[in-house]
Amino acid sequence: MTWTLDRTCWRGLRIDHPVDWEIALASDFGQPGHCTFSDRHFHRLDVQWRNIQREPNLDLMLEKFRHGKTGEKRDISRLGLRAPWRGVLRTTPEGNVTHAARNFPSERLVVEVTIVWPSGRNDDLEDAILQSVMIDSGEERLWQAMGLSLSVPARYDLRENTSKVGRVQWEFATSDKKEPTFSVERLAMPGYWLKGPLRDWLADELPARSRVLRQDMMPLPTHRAESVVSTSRITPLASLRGIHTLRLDLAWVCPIEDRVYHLCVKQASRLEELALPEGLVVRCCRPVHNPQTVSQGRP
Amino acid sequence: MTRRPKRNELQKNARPANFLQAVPYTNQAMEVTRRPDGSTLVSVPIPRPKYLVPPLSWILPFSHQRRVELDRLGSYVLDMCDGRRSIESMIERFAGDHKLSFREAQLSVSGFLRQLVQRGILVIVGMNKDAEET
Repeated sequence: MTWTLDRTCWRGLRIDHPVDWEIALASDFGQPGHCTFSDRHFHRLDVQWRNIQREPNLDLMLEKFRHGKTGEKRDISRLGLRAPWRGVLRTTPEGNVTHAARNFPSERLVVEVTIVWPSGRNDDLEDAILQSVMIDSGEERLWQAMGLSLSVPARYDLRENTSKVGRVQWEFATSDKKEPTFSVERLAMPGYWLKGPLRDWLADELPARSRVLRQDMMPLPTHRAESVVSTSRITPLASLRGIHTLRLDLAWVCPIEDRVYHLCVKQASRLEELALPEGLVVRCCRPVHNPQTVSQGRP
Repeated sequence: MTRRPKRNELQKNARPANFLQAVPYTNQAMEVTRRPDGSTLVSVPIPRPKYLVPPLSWILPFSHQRRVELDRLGSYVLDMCDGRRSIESMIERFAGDHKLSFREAQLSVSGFLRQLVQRGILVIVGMNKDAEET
């Protein structure tokens, strides 16, 4: 059986999963890594990862699934997974559950994966999911989930993640307050809410009392983006020192995805020029998954 | 005589699969007015409350109809409620037409259907296998 797999990259962890298992929960800034994926009916995949000081005993970790919360004994059997994964299979009247764990010694990270099989376990899909788990430890980190796909310098971390229906916004910042911060927003159904030109919408998105310095078109490799450079006051004292919030807004419509992308870079500065952070890549024009065509990917 | 299920039993049986297989039916007593801009005005008759009798009814105004205005998207979803289509197929069609993922469409369509039910425009008839067996 074949499946269409999608890749999710969240807080340094990469994992492949069937395209109709969508992300339902993702950990916030400062929390241990955690993602949950669900299909139309059930939670199907749960991934947790955390830093560790010493090498863990994976078999001992998996022993915790032998007993339920109230101390009752569960029906558990050991699985012969491909190394370095260790796992157990829990059998319940509603279906099977795979619990697997592995250690990434060089990154000092342990990853625990739980896969729910409501209609029978699928060994091949289970293996494909487990073997796809990787740790992103390069200078640029891939962030890919909820329809967004970005390459971001590793010094930036996701501080805020807002996910509403059809509107996903990620805000990135570094620990250095002098460096610019940026946010990326992806908005669905522009044919419904975008009543006028994108240029006007972008100008409306600026905070109150902003002073627009420039507004023009910026050619991107695939689309033409509207851009606005503006300033706004921070505090009266900062204004006396000539420091203001300098803001660069970029927006474009991706006709393939039928989404509006909005990129906003902010920095406290005396200057009137602001560039995009080096190494930042926003990927659009990715194929849109049509739920009406899902026939495979379901084990 | 069959026993009416209790509220917590209903909640227990309200699984996502049951909800997705349920079929919405429109209120046959409501009046639907189409507008040229694609929006729709729906008037739902509401019964007079039992406490609203003279002299209270002389003071408190009462409208016999609740009017709900639906925009273009709301009208599109209401049109899909034909009494044959399940909520799952409505979500699939909505997602396909607007290039949304199933979850995005599910959240928006199910939230909107819930509002229509609260306003008396729809009822959702579900497939409850457990209830059928009892």
